[in-house]
Amino acid sequence: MEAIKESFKSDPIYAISMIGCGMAFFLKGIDYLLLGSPLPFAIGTLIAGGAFYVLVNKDKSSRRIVKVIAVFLILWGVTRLGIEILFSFASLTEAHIRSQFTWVNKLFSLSAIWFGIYFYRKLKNIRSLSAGKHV
Amino acid sequence: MIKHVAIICLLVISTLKVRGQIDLLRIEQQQMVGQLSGKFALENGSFLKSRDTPSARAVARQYLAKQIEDIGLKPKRQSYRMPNLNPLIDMLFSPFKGANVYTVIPASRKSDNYVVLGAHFDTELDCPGAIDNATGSTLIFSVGKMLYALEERKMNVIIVFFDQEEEELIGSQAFAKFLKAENFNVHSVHTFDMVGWDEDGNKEMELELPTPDLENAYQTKALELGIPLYVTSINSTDHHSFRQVGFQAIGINEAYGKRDSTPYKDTPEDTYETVNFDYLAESTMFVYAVIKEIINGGD
Repeated sequence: MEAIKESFKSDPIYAISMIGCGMAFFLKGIDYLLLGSPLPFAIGTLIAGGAFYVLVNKDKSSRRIVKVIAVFLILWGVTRLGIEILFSFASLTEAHIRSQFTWVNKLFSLSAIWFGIYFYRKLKNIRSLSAGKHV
Repeated sequence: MIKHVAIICLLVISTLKVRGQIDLLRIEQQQMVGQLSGKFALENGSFLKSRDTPSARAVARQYLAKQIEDIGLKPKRQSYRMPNLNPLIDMLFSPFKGANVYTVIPASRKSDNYVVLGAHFDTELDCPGAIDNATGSTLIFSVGKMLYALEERKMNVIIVFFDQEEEELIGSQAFAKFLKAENFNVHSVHTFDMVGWDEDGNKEMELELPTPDLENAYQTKALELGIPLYVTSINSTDHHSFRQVGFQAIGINEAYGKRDSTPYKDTPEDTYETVNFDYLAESTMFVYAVIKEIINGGD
């Protein structure tokens, strides 16, 4: 708990972003688990667990986990936007998916990419922290 | 001589009565198919150009619920959320969300048996869906209305309009699960998908994957009414969802397997003008006769 408090104190935006992203995927996972689909829950738990771990620990593994989360977020956002762009050229018969191509959803995709890049750029700081330096 | 004249008169009168009934039915059905497929305006003056997006489907649901209410029955809504077919899609997008509209026509005496008549009301994107499947929705509504007018019904009848058939039968899957979870004692499920095309004018209908009992029920009435039937093993529509959870189910349509079926399926040309309303009305009377026989067991 102390370590988490420390993380929030030293870089509140980073800590809130990390927890926010982890929780978003975890909640999405729970939603799907209740509908009988376990994969989003498994991935959501890994992301949320990873986010929690990197806020508690500042070791080499944390760096690797942040990298994975960052890459995941970028891929998630890019894939969603890519699908949307693809289907603006080809006709998509799935009205259910097409109805999700809204500005709000675009904003989610762009936010994920933005947070991915943000976490990736923070990797340098995590290295400093693990080396005991102040940032 | 007088006896012969009386018999002829009775035959003429009964033929005219049936003809009159079919004519009246056709007019009602033209109105409903027309409103569902954007030919005629809805009560508020708007037009349902397609029933594809969440908002258009909501309007269609409202319309169908109003139709149910107008004949004195209580419309019910069965909302659902279902995962996508691929878990990777689950990771990227939201689950299916929709709602089926249904009503229960109660048996006139105590019964826990239910006959289910279902048809999907959604369409593919930007398609008016007159034949696919405003015709099926209209058929079950008309049959339900006639069954409700009967003095005696030994079984309950559920009339259900499925959402999202065009998206992997999601609506009917949700409804089948609902019936199973609520322990409905389902006698049989009859689903209708496209009943508005009969180019060769032979009134033929297709039975999809009937059980022997259901095939017999349809064949017996078809022989009486001179309606040609044939059986296929096509399972790409709503009846499949019910068979999957163990219900006795059958699909009934125009002669899709014999290609005497609308060439405009899933296109913007699937319009009111292409519907054969005589075929729809006569098919409706046939289905009504079959379901009446099933629920009243030969009375």
